[in-house]
Amino acid sequence: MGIIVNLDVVMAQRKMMLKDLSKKTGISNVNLSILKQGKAKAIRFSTLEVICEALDCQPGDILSFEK
Amino acid sequence: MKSKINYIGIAVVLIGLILVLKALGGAISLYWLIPVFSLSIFNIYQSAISDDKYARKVYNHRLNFMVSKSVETVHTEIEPDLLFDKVVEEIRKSKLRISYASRKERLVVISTPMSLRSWGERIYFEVVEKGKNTDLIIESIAPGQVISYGKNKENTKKLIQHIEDSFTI
Repeated sequence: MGIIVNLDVVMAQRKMMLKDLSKKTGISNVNLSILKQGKAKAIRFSTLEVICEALDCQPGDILSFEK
Repeated sequence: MKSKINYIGIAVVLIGLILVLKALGGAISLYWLIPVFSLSIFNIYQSAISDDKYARKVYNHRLNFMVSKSVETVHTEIEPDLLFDKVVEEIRKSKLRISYASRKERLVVISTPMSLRSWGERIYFEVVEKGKNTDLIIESIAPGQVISYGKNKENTKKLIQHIEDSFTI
């Protein structure tokens, strides 16, 4: 399984839409969709930082590891 | 990467050159200049239609030897529409001129400016759905040129690298 991106779960908990997160973080809708679907190759610390700030969460809430 | 040397094109251009030299050496007859003029007119036609999406059919025709191209494919698991949007976004960021873009056909055509090595290339991005996966086909074509002096290969390589790098978010 590997690294799982739980961005959709955190967004649902915060009741935040993709376009709102895009506005808050400055990351494009397309990139957020790719990230949400777990299709991104890698994630920058800077990206993780802005997402955590916008969603008021920890990196561990967004990313998890499953065997 | 599929990039083959256009042997037929090179041969035809060399024969054309020999014919011109022969014609200039002796009495210049219209007979020798007919193939040269025909090729010139065909090249002007290829340049004129370059911004048209149907030009791809002309460039890829098996009898068209006056063209050089390079094709490369990226395999992804991203949904076709999302990949199309991503490609358009990345092209806009790179400030290349989009000649044609269709979400329905999942096709983007861009033009590169003229340089010392070419008159400008047409680059086609096509998103193709293949079962659960999606392929991005990048095709660089230098119309009216038998040899692109490595420009087509360079274009596809650079664009593939750019697209792959853009998946680091």
